[in-house]
Amino acid sequence: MTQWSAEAKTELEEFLLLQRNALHAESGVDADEVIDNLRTHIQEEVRSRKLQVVTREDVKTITNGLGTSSDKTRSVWTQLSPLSGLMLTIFGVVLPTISILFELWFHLCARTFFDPIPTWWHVLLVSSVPVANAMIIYRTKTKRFRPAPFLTALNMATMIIAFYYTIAFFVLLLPGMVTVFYFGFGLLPMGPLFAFIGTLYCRRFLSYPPLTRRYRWSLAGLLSAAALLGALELSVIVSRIGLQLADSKQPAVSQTGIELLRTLGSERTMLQACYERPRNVTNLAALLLSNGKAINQQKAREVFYRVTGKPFNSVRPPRLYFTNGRWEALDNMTWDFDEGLGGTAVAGRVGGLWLNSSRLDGHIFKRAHLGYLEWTFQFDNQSSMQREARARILLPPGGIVSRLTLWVNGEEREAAFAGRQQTREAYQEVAVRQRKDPVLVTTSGPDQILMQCFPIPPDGGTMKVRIGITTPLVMNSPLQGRLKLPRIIERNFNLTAELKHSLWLQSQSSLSSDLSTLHSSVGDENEAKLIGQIDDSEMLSSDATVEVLSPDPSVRVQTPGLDSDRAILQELGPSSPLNVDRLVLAVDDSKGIAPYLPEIVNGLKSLPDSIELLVITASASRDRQREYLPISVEEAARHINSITAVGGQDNLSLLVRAWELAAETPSGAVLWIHCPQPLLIGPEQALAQRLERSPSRPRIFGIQTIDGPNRIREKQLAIKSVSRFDTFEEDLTRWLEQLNSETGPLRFTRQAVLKEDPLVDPETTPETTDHVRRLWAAERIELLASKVDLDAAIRLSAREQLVTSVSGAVVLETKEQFDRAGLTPVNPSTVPVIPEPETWLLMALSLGALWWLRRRQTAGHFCRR
Amino acid sequence: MPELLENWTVQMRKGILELCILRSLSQTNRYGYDLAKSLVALPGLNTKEGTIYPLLSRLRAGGLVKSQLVESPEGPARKYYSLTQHGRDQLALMNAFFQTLSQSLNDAEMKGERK
Repeated sequence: MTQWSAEAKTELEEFLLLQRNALHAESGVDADEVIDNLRTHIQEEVRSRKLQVVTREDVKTITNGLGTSSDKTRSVWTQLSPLSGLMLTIFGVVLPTISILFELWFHLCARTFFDPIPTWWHVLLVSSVPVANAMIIYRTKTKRFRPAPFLTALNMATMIIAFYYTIAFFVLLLPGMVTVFYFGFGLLPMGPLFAFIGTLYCRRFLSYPPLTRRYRWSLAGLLSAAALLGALELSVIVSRIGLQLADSKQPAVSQTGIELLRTLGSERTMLQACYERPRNVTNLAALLLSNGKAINQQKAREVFYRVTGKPFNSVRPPRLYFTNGRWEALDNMTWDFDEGLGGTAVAGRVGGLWLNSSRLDGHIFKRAHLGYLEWTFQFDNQSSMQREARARILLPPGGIVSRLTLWVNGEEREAAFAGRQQTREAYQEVAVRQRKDPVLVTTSGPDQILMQCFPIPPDGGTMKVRIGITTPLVMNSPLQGRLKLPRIIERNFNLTAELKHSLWLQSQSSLSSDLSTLHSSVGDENEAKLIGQIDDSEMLSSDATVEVLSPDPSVRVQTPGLDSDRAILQELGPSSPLNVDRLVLAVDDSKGIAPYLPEIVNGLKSLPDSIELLVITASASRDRQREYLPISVEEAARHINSITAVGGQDNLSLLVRAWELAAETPSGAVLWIHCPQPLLIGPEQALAQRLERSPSRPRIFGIQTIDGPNRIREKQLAIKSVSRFDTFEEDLTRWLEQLNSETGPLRFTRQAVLKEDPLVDPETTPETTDHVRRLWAAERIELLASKVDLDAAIRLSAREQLVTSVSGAVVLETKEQFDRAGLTPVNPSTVPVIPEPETWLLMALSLGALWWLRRRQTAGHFCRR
Repeated sequence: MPELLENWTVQMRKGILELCILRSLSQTNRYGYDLAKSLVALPGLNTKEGTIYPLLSRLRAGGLVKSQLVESPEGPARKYYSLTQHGRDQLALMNAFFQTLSQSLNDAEMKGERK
């Protein structure tokens, strides 16, 4: 067996390489065949010479005898003159490298035109161009050239990449040339063009392989570059096309765009479009496709929801560059202006704004079966601009805001309660125009408020706000009630990693919760406490509920009324059953519903047999011609199981169609099972018209899968929410079970009666907290508002210091500002507070004394008679 | 050797080398290495293997010869060359031309003697 030394092998390969290069110039010769013959020849020579070990010298001896010339072939590698080498190095390597580094460091192009290197993959891609050119120059100059088909492929790949970027920068070439000509700088936009010319020039030094093999490797390079560019840009291109189609005024074209995006769209690209402003596209493909004109931001957000089923501001924003910097991430990003300042929308997250402390204190009033909570927020602004914090807060069912304060110069200031429009105008005047310290709370649909405060000072400035909430418990029985904790469902600020909502609840009733982070204890005077720290995610779960067990149930309580001769009575009793003859199950088949479909199927088993059932989905509701017939629960289960939940669906059309189907029978009702509704899609006025003209029949109930924004709810339409306390299936089952039961669930009735009324007897109707009056007033205000007696509704709201559908609360900084706005802040002595343990004892004693005095007076009265 | 003669012999060899290859293959198929060796050994032809292989490739590309791999007991498969029908036709024409040329050379010599 003949052994070849490494040197011999190298010598042989170098010899063959040089022959190949020489043969390349000869026409009609298949270099592969000749090289193959030469290789065989040399091996035969070795065999005939009976060499055991082949050395480099042996190879040289054999090859020298073959009569081939190496001088001619070697000359190919020395064609790069020093000047050519220098020019190639400058324009093919140095300038492109500087362009890339400059863009990486200063993001000049990204901030002004588009981001040419939005990801590190793009950086790698463009960096390969000067690197490949440098490799070819180095190999050529040093003559240390090995068979390098890789370089051929790399050269072709980098040529394609450079060409792509040359096209992208084409529009900047002319301005670049002008600035170079006049000012002597501006070469950087020409970096891709020079790099492209460099790759072309380098190609002539890669002429060593035979033509066929060269083409093969070139094709490999071309395909690789196309694949890489495709992988990075194709989904972007498809998404941009999809966005353009979705933006069409023609419904069919728009739907095609949505379907395209659902199938092939890039969530990142769609999200980028949600943050782009016109003529500030952030992507190369976008620039080429849209001629620099981005899709309307609002439209992009709607498309994002329709495609993904998620609100755009619930997702971590992409890394984008804008004039003032970069969107690093959701938790630390910069938005160069706040689109929602002073408005009624929470809008996108703003950079540098944090909620750094959250404290929830509360007291559960045992006899009144209600709670008073105070939620204190402290915001911290790390950005260099003044910021407004905005949050949509979901209150406990039936809850109302009864106090609002703002800390100004370390002092807690009370709010003024007045008409909704008046408070908003005062806020906008002081916050947006004067840039002073106000906070505003208005309702945003049933059990929902919008809180906003401005300006939180830049560079570490803070702002502290407190919201007081009066809320009834939801009673399972006269002994047992539940309090669902309030929660932030939409916000424009970020939460620090260590943020916990610190909870302190106290009551004379016993308190417990399924949350493991909350701990029950019993203090002095048998006062129960529930204390702990809750993550925001826990706060949003159905476990964020407090069970209240009262050993001393009172079904009827009283509190002094607005006038001295009246009292407010609160009674707990069963509500009337709904008596439904047809239930239209309107299912929002948006993407988020998918995990809940089995729960809906299981829950439906509790539907009373006497009720006719129809099932309609949002996607099917667009077809107005489709007929719906009553189906059995089994058929409904099959139908629901076959639902393909995708994107964000048009729920307004769904509700309109469901309303029409329910209206066909005397006691029809709609149960709308839905995901959060971050956008209004569909015929808003058609639904509003039906619900305004006929608010009580058919009735619409909504049960939402998870907490989140609900724009339909914000429209204050007559849609009653099903309270969520347990799993979706349990809540749905409970609601369906009580549909046609003999009695409905327990509910409170509140009324103002004369003190002479026999029911106002302290012995049978104990006196309790004035929060009862606030809850009565809230109901009365909504009644007045529904009768379009807005002045009376606003007056009552202001008197009782409540935030309702007609009123708001605003804290301004100075008395002058209040006066100018025609507002009067409330007297601190009239606001609700959480009683301290000692205060509670004092109150109990006072109430006892009051009861004793009244009893004595009554006894005296009878004696005198 | 004077320059004129050297140039002339080079031109002669170039012209005649293709004929030699075709003639070598006219009787039997030949292994490339074997063919090259035999041609190099021809006195007067004064050629090298480095010249023969490109010529073989060109003839194959022109369709005059064809190659096929044949298993060898001594090592890897060997490439054997043979004439194609087109090659045989061309060889017949080249032979005829060469005989005519040779006859013409002889005739030119005899005419010179007669004078």
